[in-house]
Amino acid sequence: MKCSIAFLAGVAFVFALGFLALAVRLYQIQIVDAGNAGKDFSLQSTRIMQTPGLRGRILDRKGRVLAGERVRRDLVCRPEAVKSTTISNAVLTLEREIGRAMNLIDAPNRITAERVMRHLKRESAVPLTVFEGLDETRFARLQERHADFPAFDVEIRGVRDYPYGSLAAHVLGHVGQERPNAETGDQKIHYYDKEATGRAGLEAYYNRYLSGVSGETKVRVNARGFAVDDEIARKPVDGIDLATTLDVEWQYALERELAGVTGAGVVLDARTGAIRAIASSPTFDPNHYQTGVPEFNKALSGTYAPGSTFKPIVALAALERGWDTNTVLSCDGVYMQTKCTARWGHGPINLNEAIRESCNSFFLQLGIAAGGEAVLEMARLFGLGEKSGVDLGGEADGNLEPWTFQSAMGQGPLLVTPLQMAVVAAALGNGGRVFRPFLHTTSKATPSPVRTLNAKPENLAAVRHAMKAVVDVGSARKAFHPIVGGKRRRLRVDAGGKTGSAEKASAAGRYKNTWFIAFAPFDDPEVAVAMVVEHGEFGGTTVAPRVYNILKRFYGETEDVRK
Amino acid sequence: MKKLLRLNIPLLLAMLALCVVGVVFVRSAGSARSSLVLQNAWRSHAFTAMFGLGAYFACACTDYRKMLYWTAVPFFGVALVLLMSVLLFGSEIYGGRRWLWFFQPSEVAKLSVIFLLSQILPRADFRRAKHLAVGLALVGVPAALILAEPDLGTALVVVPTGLAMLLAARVCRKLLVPLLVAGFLAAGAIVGAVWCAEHASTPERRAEIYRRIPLRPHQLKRLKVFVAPESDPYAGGWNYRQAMLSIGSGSLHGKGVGKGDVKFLGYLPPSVSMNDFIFAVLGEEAGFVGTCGTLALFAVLAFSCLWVAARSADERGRLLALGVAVLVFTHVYVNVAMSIGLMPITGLPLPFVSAGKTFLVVIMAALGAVQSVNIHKGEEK
Repeated sequence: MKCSIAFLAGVAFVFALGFLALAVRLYQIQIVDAGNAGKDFSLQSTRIMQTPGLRGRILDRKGRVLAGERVRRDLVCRPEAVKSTTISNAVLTLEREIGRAMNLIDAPNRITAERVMRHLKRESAVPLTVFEGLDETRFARLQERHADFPAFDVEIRGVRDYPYGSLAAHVLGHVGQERPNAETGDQKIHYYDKEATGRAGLEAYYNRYLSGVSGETKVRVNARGFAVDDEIARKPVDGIDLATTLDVEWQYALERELAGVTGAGVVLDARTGAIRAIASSPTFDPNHYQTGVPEFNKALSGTYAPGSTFKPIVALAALERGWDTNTVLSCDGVYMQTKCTARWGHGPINLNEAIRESCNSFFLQLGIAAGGEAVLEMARLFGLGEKSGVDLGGEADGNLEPWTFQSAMGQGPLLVTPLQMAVVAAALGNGGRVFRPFLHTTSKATPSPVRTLNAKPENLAAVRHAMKAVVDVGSARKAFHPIVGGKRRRLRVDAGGKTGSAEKASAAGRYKNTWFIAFAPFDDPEVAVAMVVEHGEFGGTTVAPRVYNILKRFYGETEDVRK
Repeated sequence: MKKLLRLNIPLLLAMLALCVVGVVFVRSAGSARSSLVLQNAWRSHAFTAMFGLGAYFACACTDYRKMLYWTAVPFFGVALVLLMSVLLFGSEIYGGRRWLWFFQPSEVAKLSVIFLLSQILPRADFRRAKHLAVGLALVGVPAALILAEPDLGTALVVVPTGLAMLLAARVCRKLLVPLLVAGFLAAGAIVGAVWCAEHASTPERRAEIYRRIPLRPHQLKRLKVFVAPESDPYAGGWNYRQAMLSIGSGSLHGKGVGKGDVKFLGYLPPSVSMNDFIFAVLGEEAGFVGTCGTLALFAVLAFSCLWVAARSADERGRLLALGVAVLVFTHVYVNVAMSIGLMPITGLPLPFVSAGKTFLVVIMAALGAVQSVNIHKGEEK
């Protein structure tokens, strides 16, 4: 035969070579390089979606929620539910479906064809949010007709919520929407849900604490980029609740007294430095935050001349330098061209009376006698001229230097914040312990003071008693003994305080920033208050009544039986 | 009935096993499709295999000598007419006219060439050059008609099958062998030129080389993908890249039948996963074990055909069996090699496994004819 067995053997040999080549190549692909192929494929078909954890709440000291998460229902459209062969076709179909859904919930359709197209091109693996914040009626209508709208889902999202509205707005701060923190190393994140991020106040200062750790969802996508299924690769970790020292009642009382005026106030726990209330006025509602709201926190970022509220510090410094409490100076209404509070002068006056009546002539002389350095050193010990170290951003330093002779009456270059003055009031009340004010309740039961003044007890007592005289018979007497229904009333407890009225020159003319600092109860002070009201009349008439009202709320009022 | 006892058992069993593999993977590939018709393609594949089995036994029981004597020439003529009419009346799909009503004439033409050459080549000594010219014409005319559809893959299968039979029948080897060598060199030169172009220093030089290569743009593109698959992973190289990921991610044992992600997620385009690239689905779902097992079944098939050829009593049977063996081997080699990057991509079904009804019936009838050679080897006419 022409076709020999040898030829057939040759053909068989060629076949064998062919099969062998295929088998070797398959071995290379499926055994040697299999890992790479698997990796490449999952890289190609997996999208990582980052979802933030629930943001922690901010609580007051009794556990009441000052900032929390409110549930919001969003209507989302899943592009993979629409079966279309081309992208322009898919856009058309989605547009029509979205229009139908918007019709159902009776809402204007703001999703344009361009928006749908952009979503399909960039984020086709994740749903498109078409309506935010469905109310009960709309949600119910969607639920009823869900079968007719297979491409739509309702997604539950958390929104920052401040249940008390504007209460403590400045200290709580507000949040903005940002890309969540990626703690994923070099792994690529394809999509993310925006996360609430603190932009001011406690929300910003404790953002890391409140925000938790984002989770990851692996979305498997098909060749057209649409989601097929997903799997939670890492669960999000919720943020931690922030327990604060704030007290809703104190905060409310403070803000009520500040309503309608421009100013700021702080209520401290005089025994620890814990901030019970801190407010700045005018205020805003963080639920409806927008740029332009008065978000500047005057309580710790605003600086003012302390005015006469500085005088107790001058007095203490002088006493420490050996000033005798019985020394009498003369006041004739003007000293070195500086007017005193009493136009015709206080006459002969001693230290106690000078604090009580806030005599400028006396203190200008006292300042000269004590020496500028000694007074400023005492002011530094009280924490003035430097940040108090409160756990909030944006705190101002204030200013002490240089010493001028008017510094002795709290004017000149002196600048303090209401928070610093609250610390001063607390230190004067509690026997010289200067605390770092704080908002976050840590496990430590009683914080130790930053420093304790090395002042003689009898000197401190002299100043304290003078401050008691201020509210009993001095410049704040009327404020602390209001006449209601023909009867004179007073607090159930004794208190100490100091008025202040700092003159300030501005383009519009001179005006006064009026102060009052106080501590109560007198014998063992629990709270210290500092409040400033801009454009006031006089500390004793503008601010002292407001502080009295705050204290009244907590310590009660009684009839004044003394003459 | 007595004839059935003389069937070549390995040939039959390997074929049946491959039919089962085919049904299983057509079903798996179809499961990723949304169309109900395609989801049920495995049923029609199974029915076609049943029908093919009928043709198989019909051919096996018919004496191949009588069959060749009576049908070879008319069959060839009918095939030529069909090929010409498909060019005129065929329905156009994916830029080619390959379908006439419900079947592909090019598949039928493959078998008609084998039949015709088996019938006429043993008749006399064909040592002259003019004999070679006639022989080449008998292979070349159908091949050219198929190429005109255009269906490069099928044309590429007809040529080696025909040439192997001409070579076996000693048709003017003096000329044929140098011609074959020249052909191989030319193919090598083209691939080499594309390689040079892809690695050319400047785009101008690359364009210059491409201008000189006498191929159509889409063929050139496939060669480019073959030479440098990473150069264009999204357009031309997509199918190849996805097939490689698919087969590679199958690893040793595969992901399990019906569980292939690459196919399921549509990365391996649904338009090819059931047909030309079904080997990629097999590789992903059955792993190295499955691919090598399937190749082993094909090897059994091809070597059994050669075995039948060797034991055939006469020249016609030997050429027939040889032709079918080369046909099967070429199909398997070209299809698998293109799926795993050993050859440029050409559209060619994997016998028994790809969902192509015409080819399934044709290849089963061809194997039936080989069985007929085995059954009738003892009888002299």
